[in-house]
Amino acid sequence: MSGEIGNTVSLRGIETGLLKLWQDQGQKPVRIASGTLIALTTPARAPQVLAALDDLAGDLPCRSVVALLHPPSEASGSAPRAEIALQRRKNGPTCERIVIHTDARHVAGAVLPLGINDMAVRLWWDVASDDQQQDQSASLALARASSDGQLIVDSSVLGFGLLRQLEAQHRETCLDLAWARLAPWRRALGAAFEPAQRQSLLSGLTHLRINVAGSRRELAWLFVAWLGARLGWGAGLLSADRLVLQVAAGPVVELVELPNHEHGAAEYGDGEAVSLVLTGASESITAYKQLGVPYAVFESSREGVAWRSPLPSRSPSECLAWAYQNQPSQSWQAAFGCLGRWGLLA
Amino acid sequence: VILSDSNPLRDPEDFEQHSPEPCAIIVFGITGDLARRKLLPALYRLVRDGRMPQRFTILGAGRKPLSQEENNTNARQAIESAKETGVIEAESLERFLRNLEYVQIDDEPASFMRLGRTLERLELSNQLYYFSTPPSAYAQLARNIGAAGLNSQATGWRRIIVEKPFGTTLKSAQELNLVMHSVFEESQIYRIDHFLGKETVQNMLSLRFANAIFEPILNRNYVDHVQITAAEDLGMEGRGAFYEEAGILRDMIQNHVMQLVCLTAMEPPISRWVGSLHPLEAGALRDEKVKVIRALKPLDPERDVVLGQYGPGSLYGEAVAGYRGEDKVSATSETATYAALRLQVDNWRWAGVPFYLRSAKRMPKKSTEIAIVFKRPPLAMFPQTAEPNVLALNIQPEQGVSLRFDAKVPGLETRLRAVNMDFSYTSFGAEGPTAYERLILDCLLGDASLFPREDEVEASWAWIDPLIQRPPAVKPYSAGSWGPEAAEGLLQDASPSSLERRWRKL
Repeated sequence: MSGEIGNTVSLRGIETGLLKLWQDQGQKPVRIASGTLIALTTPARAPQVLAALDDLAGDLPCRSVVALLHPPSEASGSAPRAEIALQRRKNGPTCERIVIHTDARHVAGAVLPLGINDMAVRLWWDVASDDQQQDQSASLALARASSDGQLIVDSSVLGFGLLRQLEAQHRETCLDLAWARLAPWRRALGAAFEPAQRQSLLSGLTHLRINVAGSRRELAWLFVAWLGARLGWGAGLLSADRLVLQVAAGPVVELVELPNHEHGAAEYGDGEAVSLVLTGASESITAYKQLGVPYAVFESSREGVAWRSPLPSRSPSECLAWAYQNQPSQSWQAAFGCLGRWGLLA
Repeated sequence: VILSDSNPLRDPEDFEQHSPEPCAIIVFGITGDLARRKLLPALYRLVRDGRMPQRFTILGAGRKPLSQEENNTNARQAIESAKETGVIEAESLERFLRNLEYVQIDDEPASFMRLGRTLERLELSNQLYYFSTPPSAYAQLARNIGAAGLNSQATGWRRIIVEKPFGTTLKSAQELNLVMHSVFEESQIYRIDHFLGKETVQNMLSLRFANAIFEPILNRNYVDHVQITAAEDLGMEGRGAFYEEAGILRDMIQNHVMQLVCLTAMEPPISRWVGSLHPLEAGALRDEKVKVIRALKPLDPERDVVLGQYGPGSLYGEAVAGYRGEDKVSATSETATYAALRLQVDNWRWAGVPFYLRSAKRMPKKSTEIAIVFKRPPLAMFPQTAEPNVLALNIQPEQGVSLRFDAKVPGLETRLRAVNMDFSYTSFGAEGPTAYERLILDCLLGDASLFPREDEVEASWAWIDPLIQRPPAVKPYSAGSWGPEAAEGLLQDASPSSLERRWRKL
């Protein structure tokens, strides 16, 4: 049976309130959790965050804590309350969810007692670089104070500049949701170059073009940086408009932003790759997302053949599950290093 | 297509990216029961989940003259009706069927030359041959493959998966190994035991060797005995003729149950140091399993074994026939459908700790578990000690781990009650691969860790062969019961602690 039972309690009454919900649900009172996921976000972004966490609850036994940061001026003066709930899934785990309304000044004191004793705590810092409501210093303080310091971010939302600041303070602790979102493209491209005879194209690549939906470029640059890290590209010269990169002794990389009306905006997320063209001396391979189905189409000019490769969409909760369950990726760090060498973190 | 391991875009950190190389999977016996119930659904799931290579062909091979359309229809029906298929996505199913072909073969070498020409046309130089035929056909299939030169690895890898039973006696297993090795290297042969593809069975390794709290107490100092149960509620389900030949000893004990014994009793596999890890190596794991089998004391069929055969009874409120009333079963059959065994693993760790194995058809319910029952504390401090501690791995139908311990009942008086701390795999939520899906993928990736090796198979036959040759008399039990009463006596021996041993109520 699926469903949700919940209550509103004081912050001091959260643990007692949850225990009562467990006892009330009429099942064996077995509480299983693999840790705590704290989402720090703003009221405006709450619907997306809650939706992702609700989906995640179907897959992972973890306690989720959503701290909604209000501007200090909105503080009511009355004692803060928390909404607590048990989310039950048929053939899945029952998860605890806690939503608290707070502000930057009180967030650490409100959230830190809510981690399950001596288990992993991951902090999902869901903010955008242009989010004026966010008090970044308070968030960073909370990140440092969380027990294992694993910080989940989305570089395509946060922006590389803020991410670099975080990286400097939380070295090797960032888990990037954008990296998880890129996984299907990375795998599809990896599979395309399994046959040895195609691999010469990679070592002699002269031009790489990526057509991007919308105007967010971070996802595409992260993808390029992954290629650069895997193929050992060196320094690069970035154009003033930050759309063209000349890699030293390597290819010219070109990002092309496609206006929404050119590619059917509903099919793509903002910043998602629509197609790639890899060009070498004697061959080019074009890959594009096939509309309506979870596949990419690859076409080789030399082989004269086309083939398809799985390209499933990764939902926000799938990306979140990846970030929650994994350690920081060395491959991501290598890619991040490329971005730095190319001047994209400034 | 020439492949190499040099693809720079293969991320070593990303296991999901480790997709198999382009290949042809040749399924001998594609219209058979196993292929329909297990293999085709597993192969479809691999396609659906994006784990097949970008280029692949599943080439069914069989005696029946089938058109492409008939073969596709059969496969579609099998996938749509199998309960292991899970979610069917139309796009994935179409891709699967587009990559499905059929070739008719017989025992003549000429038909294997035709198979070879088909494979040449497909231009898939890596080839996996899946033997899903009656075991009597294995040797000839291997010979024909060799005679047609299809075993050559000059242009790509060749592997075979061989279904159990691998032989029916030690002698026949040795003979089959000889034939196989005349055509294939041992490294090309994957003997499949689908129990090893189950998540919980693999979790036995994680539980024992990734946690420091269990391993130090899993030995003769703390463990009273081990119970391994593989109970099925089903009867013959049309497999009466096969079962008359196999019986419970060949069908379950020699392979599935023996794998559970090995994983429970084995020492930690030793592997070379890589970076900061000692990654599990196929050879090291198989070495330790073989050592367990070699450490088994020979069985005394009269003292250590109880065999049974189910008679008419009742199950889930309905009358069910006895074994002798099943289709294609002799009315005077003496084939065992129940076996309870007492094993001694005669090594430093387990000396004196009995392993009780129990496997049967027509039990009250389907249940497979490994239960490690611990000794009682040395002093009885409390007036009512409940039960000994038990660490149980539930393998099917529910997968999980439970630990039983005594706790004080709230109140003024000191009373103890046994409580269970349960971990259920459903807590992870996400659906894992089916056993066949996992094992086929392992084979495509060249990972033989979970496939029994030649010496392991022969060692297990060498151990059980004397029992098969001289079995004790088969005792009757009612369908829907937990087996012959005589099995209870198996648990008692000369030790005082054995007096309170009992088969677990599952």
